[in-house]
Amino acid sequence: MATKIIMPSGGQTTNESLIVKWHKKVGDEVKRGDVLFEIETDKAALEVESYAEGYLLAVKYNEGEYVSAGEVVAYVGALGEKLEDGLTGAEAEEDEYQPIMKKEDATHIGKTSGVSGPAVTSENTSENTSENNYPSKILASPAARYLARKNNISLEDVAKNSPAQPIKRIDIENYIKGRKEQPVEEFYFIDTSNMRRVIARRMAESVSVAPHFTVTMEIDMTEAIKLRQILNEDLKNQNIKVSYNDIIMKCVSKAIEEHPIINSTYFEDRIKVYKNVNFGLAVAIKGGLVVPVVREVNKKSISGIARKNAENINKARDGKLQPSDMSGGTITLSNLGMYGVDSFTAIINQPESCILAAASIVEKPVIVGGEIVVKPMMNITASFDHRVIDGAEGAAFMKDVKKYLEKPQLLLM
Amino acid sequence: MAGKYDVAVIGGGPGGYSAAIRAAQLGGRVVLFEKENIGGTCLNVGCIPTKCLLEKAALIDKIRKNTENGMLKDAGLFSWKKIQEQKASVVKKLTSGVEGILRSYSIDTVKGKALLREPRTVEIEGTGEKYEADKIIIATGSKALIPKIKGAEKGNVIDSTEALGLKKIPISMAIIGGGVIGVEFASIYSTFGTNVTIIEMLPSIVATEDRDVVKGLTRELEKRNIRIVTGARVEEIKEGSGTKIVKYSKDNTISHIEAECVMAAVGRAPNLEGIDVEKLGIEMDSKMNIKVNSMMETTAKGIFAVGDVTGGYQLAHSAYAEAEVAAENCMGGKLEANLETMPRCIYSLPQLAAVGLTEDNAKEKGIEFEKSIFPYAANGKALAADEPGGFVKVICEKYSGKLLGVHIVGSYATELISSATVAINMGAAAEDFYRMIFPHPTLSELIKESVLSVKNLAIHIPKGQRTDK
Repeated sequence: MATKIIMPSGGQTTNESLIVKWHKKVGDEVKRGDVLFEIETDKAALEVESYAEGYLLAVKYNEGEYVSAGEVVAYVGALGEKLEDGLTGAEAEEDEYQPIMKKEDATHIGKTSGVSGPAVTSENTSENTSENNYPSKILASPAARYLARKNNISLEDVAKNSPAQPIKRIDIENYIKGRKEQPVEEFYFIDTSNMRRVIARRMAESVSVAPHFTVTMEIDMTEAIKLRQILNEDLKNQNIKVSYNDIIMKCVSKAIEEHPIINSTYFEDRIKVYKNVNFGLAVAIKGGLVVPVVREVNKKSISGIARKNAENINKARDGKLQPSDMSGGTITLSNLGMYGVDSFTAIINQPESCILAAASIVEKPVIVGGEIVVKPMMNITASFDHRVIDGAEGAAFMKDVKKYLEKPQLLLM
Repeated sequence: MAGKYDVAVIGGGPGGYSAAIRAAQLGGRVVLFEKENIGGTCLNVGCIPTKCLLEKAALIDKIRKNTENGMLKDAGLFSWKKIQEQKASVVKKLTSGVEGILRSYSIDTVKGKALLREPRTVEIEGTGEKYEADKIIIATGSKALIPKIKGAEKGNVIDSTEALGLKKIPISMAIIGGGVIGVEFASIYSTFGTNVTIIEMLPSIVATEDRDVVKGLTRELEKRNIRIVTGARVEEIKEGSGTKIVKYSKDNTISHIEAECVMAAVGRAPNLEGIDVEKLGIEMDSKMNIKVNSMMETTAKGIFAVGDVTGGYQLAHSAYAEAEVAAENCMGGKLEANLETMPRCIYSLPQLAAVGLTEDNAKEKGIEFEKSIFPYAANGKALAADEPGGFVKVICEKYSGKLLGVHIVGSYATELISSATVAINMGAAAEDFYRMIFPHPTLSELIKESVLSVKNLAIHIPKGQRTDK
């Protein structure tokens, strides 16, 4: 009995995901955990792994098609097996023959393992250039030839730009002029990954639909640092390490209790306010970033948040995050503290209404009771969606975030 | 007690089965224990199956060359699956052949893992059956070493056994280790279309062989699109996107190679499973190989050891030689093994074969010598066969003209080396070749002419053209 491969639920705002690339062909052997295809959701680009073993028997949707979550995308099973919805499965292949003359590009050695193109013999290429392009004998006036030779210009290059022949002296002069005007191109292109394209689209979208405004607070982290030390001392045996992110998430979630509007989405002229705080954490990975979510931060202890964040970060680094790990976020935290950043602003992770940007903790002179003392200070900048949150509301919320971070004892209330 | 024997042999590889047969030929009652397949590494996952793949690779190479030069119009298609099937059938034929020979000598073959804990008793794991024998020969062989590199776990890195049975020809492969095994697999897979990179820690591949032939081999391998990185230490193997990334350091810089498949060919370790060396009083050398004397006896009386488990050359033919000595000594003989003129063969494309001293060996020993290099391109048969690449290097003692070493890189080098082995074994000098007749046209003439060329007496090379200078 063939196993159905089902489109996972990807995003939050849409139910459909785009099939970007098939990694297996019909008839290929499939092992558990092999990547079958890549999808792009509104959140991220993901690889879908097979949970079944056997052969890829049939594919219902091709690259470039949108498929709703829960739909059958493909079948995996034994060769020659009958499939239920009238599709014919791949036949057991007798043998796979491959061309002896398959020639690899020498520059490819040891670099990447992309799929090599079809074999091209040297004979073929030479025929192409002589027949399909401009004739090899280029007609040009003697004056044009002289000028070209003097300026070290190839007539072929001139002919490419102005196909009218014979080439005259004026053509060469124009060519020289054009060449001088053309600045040397001092850049190069990088092909973008799916992840890069998703990030590009989503960031541009966010800035265009949500008018951002930002509020920055300078926060005395003395007590938060102490709290972290105490917690880590106590959790030593449980192999959990609390980070500042975990404490910030808890304090923000506590502040949201008094400002529920922060934890919301502007949705078809109404504001959808969420009862639970599902906190996304921006994690940098090779080639981009992902935002795994810790669910119900409002109901979790700091150690519970720490455990989940650590798990998410590990999965992210290993490329093992599932769509479900990244969906359902209601607010996001981005922390660039490790880079020694004084403060920065972040782009809201749509369709949320707020993102917090935490900078590094720096010892600074602060005036307390008329005296200068040194305190560990941190800037947090919140970006808000002005469609939902106004200045005063945002500022009041940030005042509470500051309060809880400076007096974390209040979390107990 | 399941039986009483003169000789018990543990392990059914080349060392084990040849020891068993020789002991039986000398009238001994013999039992042979094998835990997996008769034939051992050599027949099942070593010499023989690699040669099946290399023969096919050589054929593909020829077809490709002749298609490129226009002799063949189309190269056609080949099936990796069929190649694998033929390899399996050759292995089957040979192993069942050996089983037949063992039966013909009434050697009892016991399938199962042998445990040796007492000097004269072999026990079978699981069943507890016990076999008693006056003499015991340990021929348990070796297993591929997984290098101690970060990330080099099973599944991430394949060994030679796994590399033999790959379901699909990989697009790219990184081979850690440029020894015999690494170079042979590089030849196999590069010919079948894989982009191969060899990463070797020492300053050259197959570093124990003569510098000139190694240089020649390196050049030929590079011509065949094999990338060779020497003096490089692999630091880590990481998971890429559907690939593996090999991180290595060379000259204090870190580089990366991305490949679909990473193979470790960093050597083989003795297989001592089931042998209680401490209890039996068997001494080991620093590399944990069983120590033996020239009669192939271990430090425990009545217990002999042969083949890979004793370290040494780790070649099937050295195991044969050792096994015959051990078997004769088990049956009352007093033979000493002479492993001095050990031919060494690398079945790469092109092949490398050598016997006797390298130039560096001769220098270390303080021997005054003369040498010559004679090219394949000066041999009629090599040209007719379209195999003009390669050369033979000869080293002779200056004073006596005695042949000390012959080193060949080129087509059929492994077949050519035997006439040189015979000559060196019999103590031949260069002048012994003067009146010896070699058939024409053959590649074997290369041996005669290369030896004569030490004395500037080769015919088929212009006067004064000795390429050793």
